[in-house]
Amino acid sequence: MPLTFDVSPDEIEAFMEDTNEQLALLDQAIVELEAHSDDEALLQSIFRAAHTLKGNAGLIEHHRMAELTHALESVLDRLRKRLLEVTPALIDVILASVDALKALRDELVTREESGVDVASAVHRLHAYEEASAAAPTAAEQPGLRITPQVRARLQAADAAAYRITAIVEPSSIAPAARIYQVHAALSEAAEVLASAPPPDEIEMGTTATRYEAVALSTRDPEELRSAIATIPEVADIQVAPQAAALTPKQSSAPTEGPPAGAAPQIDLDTKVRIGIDQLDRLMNLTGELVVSRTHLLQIESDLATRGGDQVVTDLNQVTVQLSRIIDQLHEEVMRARMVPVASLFTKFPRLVRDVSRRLDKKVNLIIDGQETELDRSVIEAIGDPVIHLLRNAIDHGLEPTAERLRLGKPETGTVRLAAHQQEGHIRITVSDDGRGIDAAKMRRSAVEKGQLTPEAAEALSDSEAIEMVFRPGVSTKQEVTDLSGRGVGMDIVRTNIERLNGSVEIHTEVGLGTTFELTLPLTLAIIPAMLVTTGGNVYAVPLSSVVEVHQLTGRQIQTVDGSEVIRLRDQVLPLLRLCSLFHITGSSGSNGHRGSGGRLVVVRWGRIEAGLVVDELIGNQQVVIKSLGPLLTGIRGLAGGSILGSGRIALILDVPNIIKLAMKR
Amino acid sequence: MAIETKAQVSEEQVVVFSLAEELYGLDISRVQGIIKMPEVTRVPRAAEFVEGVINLRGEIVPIIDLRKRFRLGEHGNDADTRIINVEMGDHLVGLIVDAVEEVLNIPSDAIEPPPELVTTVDSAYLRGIAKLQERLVILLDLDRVLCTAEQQAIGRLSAEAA
Repeated sequence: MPLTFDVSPDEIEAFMEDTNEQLALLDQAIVELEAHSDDEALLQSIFRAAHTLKGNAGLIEHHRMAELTHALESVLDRLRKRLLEVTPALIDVILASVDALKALRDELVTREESGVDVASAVHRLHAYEEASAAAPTAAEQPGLRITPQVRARLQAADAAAYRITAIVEPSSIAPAARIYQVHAALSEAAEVLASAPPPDEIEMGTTATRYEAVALSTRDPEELRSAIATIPEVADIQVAPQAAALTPKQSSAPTEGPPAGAAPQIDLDTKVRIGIDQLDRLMNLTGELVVSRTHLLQIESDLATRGGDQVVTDLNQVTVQLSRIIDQLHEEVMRARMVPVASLFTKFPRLVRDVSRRLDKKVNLIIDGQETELDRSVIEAIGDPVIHLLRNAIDHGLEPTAERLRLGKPETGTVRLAAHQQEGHIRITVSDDGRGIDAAKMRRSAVEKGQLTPEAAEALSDSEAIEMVFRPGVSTKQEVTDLSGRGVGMDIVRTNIERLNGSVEIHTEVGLGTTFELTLPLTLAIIPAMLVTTGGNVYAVPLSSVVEVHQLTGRQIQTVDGSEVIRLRDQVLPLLRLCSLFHITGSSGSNGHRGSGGRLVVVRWGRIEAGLVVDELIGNQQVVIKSLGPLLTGIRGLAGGSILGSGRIALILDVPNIIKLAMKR
Repeated sequence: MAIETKAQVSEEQVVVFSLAEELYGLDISRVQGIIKMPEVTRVPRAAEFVEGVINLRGEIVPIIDLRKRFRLGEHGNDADTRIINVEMGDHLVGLIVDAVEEVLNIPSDAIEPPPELVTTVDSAYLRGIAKLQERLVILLDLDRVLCTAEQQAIGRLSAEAA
């Protein structure tokens, strides 16, 4: 049965946006909490996120989601009040309920029940809540308010600080009086700095059945306890030293509950939200401007060669001015599309925790350079490759705990994920301090699997052997796990990164660890390319793949095993004829035929270089990448199309796949 | 089929075009525009019936040769050749036809379900046949024509990749 929610599409959009934000925050912060269980500010932000989620769910009347967030909120409240301890098992339960919330959120889009068992998820949360002391729920019992003055006293005092809790038995007929007695008894034995309910409420006769206080005393905890224990109908008296939790770091948020559900502070005066599709259209238009500018400059130089007069000089001034404006506009629009890579990286602590727990390995994930900005399209495209590299680092890279200890390495493995910008590129590295990739092992494995003859394997250099991790079907892992070890994936990582005009490199040292380094362009929308013609078509070769350009004469061409090659310096370069590769017949140029010359564009994929034979070179240009439409996406060897200043369409070559296609033949 | 009453005969607006001596009709609501043959950029390794791509006001639009699509034999382009641009989801696709004839209002009760084995085009692509006085207009099911085209194109690509 389809679900119905009483919401407009606009409200759904707002709900989704905020809910996604809160869920992402929870995922990240809860994993962090496991390591920093005494971080008050962190707990507060987690609690606030859960509270906001509850409010959102209530607003659109998603009752099951509201019910689950309510249960989650109560548990978090207990954590916040130190009534519950952070344990890996509890974090598991909380993360599981966050996952359930994600499925419930999706119901809004699918309009179908996701099969999430809310009742049992709530039950698991309640089990923890009940395990911590049977006390009234958060809603009925306001927490202890620690004002800055109290905190100052706590920090300055030379007496010991205690947190005291006591509960009046439900059977009591005068709980207010019992609370008053407890407060009075404690006040005699200690200096009560703060209490819940507060003293004036106790005087008036409170409805609470639970008493909590922070007090300074020179007596020992047992004395305080027995002072309260003399009062009848009072149970569950706890006297605990009050330390770290109330001596917050300088920067942490005030402990007194900030207005729950308060929205994160957004500076409304300086920021405007803009739709991604709108930004994409702006980007496209700017791209067209860049292309038209090139065309205009072309016309201008044509005119100038025909004999300059005043008009041409004027035109020159205008085009120079226009160029400057277009460049700036282009840069600004590009910048508007940039988002910090943190929007992707914040997902990873959760992922690493899940993977390491399943594999029973201890992993410390270090993230650097979260603030590095990247074009949104690039961030979307690198998500899967980076996830794969992280899983690989934990599963294949890091040794099992026992082995690490035997080798004298720290028990906890380190995985580092870093991003930084460099010369118009972004560099992302995933490194581990694990076993490294053993070239000898790679050779053996390839021979055992029948992928290489023993002689061919022996002939490989160490770095070539290591590069084999990028081949399909290669894995040195002995047993296959459900995460990795099937030998699929690394080749896809490389293909995906190279489709983005990026590259992947490996640095590894046996016993010390492995680093994968991804180099990517800052944007995918516009790339510098070399325009060439072949068979009457214009093709754009991404400059990131171009090594150099040469004139090619028929006499330079030699044949090895039936394939054309040329000798370039001390290197043998295989030749690729686009025409034959693309089955283009009736080529207007002569280069379609074996043995004929033309222009040679040397291109590179990883460590493989090859020579593309084309008719003519047109020159270098910025091109705006466009899809070729639904019927033509996914053609091997083509990355898309671009409309040139003249209105003609240039097809953009996908160099990695062209080299792969050629190698297959 | 919805229940029809004679009292209110609804009409369909159809763009009629000719292809290999027969008349075909396309639902006008899916037609974005009709243009003469512009310069076509051929796309290597594309499916056989994909003629190439054109620049339609700054957008790259793939072009399908309907004759090739339906295996109706070559014709070559002439002064009557047109491209009908139709919407396919968020994208445009151009269809090359021999000539565009007219826009017709066809009463729903003149439309009959596609007969088996009568037309030269596979009946899976047909929505029905409209009988108008002495003429027959074959109504195309655009989604089927494009969808199977896409599947074929993709199927071919993955067969190649394997």
